[in-house]
Amino acid sequence: MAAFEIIAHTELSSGAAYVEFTSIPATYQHLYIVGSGRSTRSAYADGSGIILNGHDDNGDYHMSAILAWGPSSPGAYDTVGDTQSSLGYMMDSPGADAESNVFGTGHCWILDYTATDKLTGMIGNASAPGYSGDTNDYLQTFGHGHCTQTKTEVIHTVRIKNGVGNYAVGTAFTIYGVNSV
Amino acid sequence: MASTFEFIEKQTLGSDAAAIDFTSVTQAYEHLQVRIHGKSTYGGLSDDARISFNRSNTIGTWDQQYMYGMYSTDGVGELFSSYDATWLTRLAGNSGTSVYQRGVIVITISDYANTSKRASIQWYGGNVSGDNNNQGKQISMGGAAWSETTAISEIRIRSGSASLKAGTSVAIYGMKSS
Repeated sequence: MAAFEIIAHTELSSGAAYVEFTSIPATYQHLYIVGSGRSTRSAYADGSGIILNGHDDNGDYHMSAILAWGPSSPGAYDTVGDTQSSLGYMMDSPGADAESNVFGTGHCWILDYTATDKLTGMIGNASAPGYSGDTNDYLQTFGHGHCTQTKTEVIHTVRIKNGVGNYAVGTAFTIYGVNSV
Repeated sequence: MASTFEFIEKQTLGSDAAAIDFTSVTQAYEHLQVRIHGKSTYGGLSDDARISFNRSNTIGTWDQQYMYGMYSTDGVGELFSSYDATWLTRLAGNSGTSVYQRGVIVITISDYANTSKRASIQWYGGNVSGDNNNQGKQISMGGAAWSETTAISEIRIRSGSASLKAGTSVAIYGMKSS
């Protein structure tokens, strides 16, 4: 049996607020998402997050991330806590003000997603650097985060939701199932 | 469902070499993952690893953002283009540390064959030995963008200030999307 199997892949041919994978089979041990994203937001960058099974109320997720913004001193190395989040941190994407054709890279694990005796845990990291050497902090972002959804449901739907703008054309995500036997 | 995470190629150095090159990288996947297990000939505790693409064609420029922990300090940094390669986590050096010490790095290259996107990578890695100083214990993670939209057909891994030590291995895996 293959360790990694494709569940679905989506590449946007027009802008969209989110990419969603539905009817995820409950036959794997873990889920793994890899993608490259860009936002239509008129800014250097835009954030995005993950919503599981449609739960998007405050308090549905606990998350913490370490973020690097820009070429700043280690003071820019920060821990961000948000215990009332309505989504889990996924990645930053370059915005419309970033250089053309620049996309960020992000990946995220959703562990033991069929367990009903565990809060669902996610861990991942992402980068969204430009290439111009521009010192605007938001043009140079990198993050590593962990998120717990405060539910014990089997995960059947994963929505990757962009922040302020839409995901731009070419944004693409692949979701894999990872076997353990 | 199809197998989607596949081994492409592995190189293990039988003798010291300036670089490990993968040429004619297949375009059959959506994403690539590169795994490095390496040591440098550098005469110190450690030396940074570097990655670059398409060396026989245009080598482009890079901009990268990273965060690191070195023994008891941490920080962030940015490097822009000066090195025509991206700096990665450090490899074990060849002096003052165990001959068996190795650095490990995992790199994700997303949508590497897409000529409408500048290549984007993300990595994490570490070289943590028993040497209690900044050069002996280091972890880092970061991301980088390459200026070119050319499909990635060549991958070069090297040590920043010296050669790669015999025994260094680099493996490439492909991830399909259909």
